Amino acid sequence: GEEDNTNEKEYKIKYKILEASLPFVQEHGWTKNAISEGARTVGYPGTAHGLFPRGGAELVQYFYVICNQQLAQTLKKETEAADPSKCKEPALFIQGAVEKRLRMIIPYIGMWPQALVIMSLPPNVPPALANLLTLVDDICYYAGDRSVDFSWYSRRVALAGIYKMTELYMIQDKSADFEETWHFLGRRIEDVSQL
Amino acid sequence: MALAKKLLEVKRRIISNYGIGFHTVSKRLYEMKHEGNASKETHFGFETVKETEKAEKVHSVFETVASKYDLMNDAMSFGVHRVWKDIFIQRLGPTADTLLLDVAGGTGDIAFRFLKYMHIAGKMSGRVTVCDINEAMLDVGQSRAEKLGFSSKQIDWLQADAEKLPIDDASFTAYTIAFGIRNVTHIDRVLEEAYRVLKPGGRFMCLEFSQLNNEMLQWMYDQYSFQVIPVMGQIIAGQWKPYQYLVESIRRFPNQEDFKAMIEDAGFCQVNYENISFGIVAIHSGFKLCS
Repeated sequence: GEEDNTNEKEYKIKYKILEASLPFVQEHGWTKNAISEGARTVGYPGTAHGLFPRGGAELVQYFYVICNQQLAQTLKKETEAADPSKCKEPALFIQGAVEKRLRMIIPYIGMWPQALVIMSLPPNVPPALANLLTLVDDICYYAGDRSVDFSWYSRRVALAGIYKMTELYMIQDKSADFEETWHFLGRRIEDVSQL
Repeated sequence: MALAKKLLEVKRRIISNYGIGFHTVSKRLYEMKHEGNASKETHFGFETVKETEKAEKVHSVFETVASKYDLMNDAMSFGVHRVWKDIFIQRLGPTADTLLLDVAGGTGDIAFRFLKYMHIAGKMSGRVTVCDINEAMLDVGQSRAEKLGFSSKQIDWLQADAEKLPIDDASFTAYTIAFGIRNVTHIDRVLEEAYRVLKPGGRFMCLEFSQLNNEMLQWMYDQYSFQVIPVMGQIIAGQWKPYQYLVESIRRFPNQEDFKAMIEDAGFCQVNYENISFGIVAIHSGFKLCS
């Protein structure tokens, strides 16, 4: 009812501010300073960072969630448009999906180590895990996994591990266009496929 | 000789006040709940007074205590009130563009912390308007500002009633009121004024005594408040009644949830509160967003 509408409006405003704060991450890091700057560009005073009591963690969280959403949309389009007669091999599909998702981090790679540290702080671990699980679940689902047995869990846990390892590799990779990272990813997926 | 005199006075006060018995607090609270009076009256501590009288009575309380205000704060809270106020400003997290209105901020504690925060953060800007209904409190504040070396360009001192601010709409980005809102006659009017003078996106923050979330601690707090604080007031400031009023007015103030609802009624969004020191004080915060 009316209360829901107000809540929705409030959330829209909060997302608007967070979205406007992302360009400031390179300069200010994942901090409430970045949020203050973002708030000012959309016409709110700098103290609007108070809307986000967990400060930078909420900005990282927001970024993670919209990246996941973007990926899900892309994968959905891909699977719908794909020719049913020639199904893309799951391992290749997964590799492609993980690469796509990691590439979204590239504009923020300089500050990504800070983001990882923030998300490993105790109060932020639950939402971070939830994000990761949503991510690997989406990828497995669009890769065609419809299992109803234990392999549902083992696949996702394995993929979460691969994603995390590749992410850590990526933040210290200095090669052109992160070539080494994609090779690393390919090798990890091969390892798992051999199981 | 002077000390002996003081002690005699204290003893007289204790007997006259405690003669009624230790049941006084709970008995009076019970009586208050069952009052049936509806004609424009309000509470002044545990007393019931006409609304028109309350402002006067509060005014005289603060005029009496102004000179010893800061000393008593330190004595009663063992200096912890400084930490509460530090946390308060940390939560606000002022930025370079913050225009702060500090209401009931008489002796300047919040204003000085605000300017210090800006200074440490390397932002030399920052204006704060300190507003108080009581001239005596403002005078103490101004002399403290001079002693601490704050320039008059950074602080404006305004004598005004929080229920009717002589300020244009949407002129400030942050409104703070620390330990002041429980003294006003109409809390809802103060909240409405706060909403009016804030710019869109502006933040309302209130630091105030609140209800403890633990019964055992509440009992200890009651004992301390009613048995010790007025005595301290008599010894240190030579006044008993103002400090009696203080502890009674704290009990009278709505609890965290009720106050949060009042703030939402005034139009603020994203209203939240944070308990500090087990709920002895609470910081309420709201934003002017959905207008």
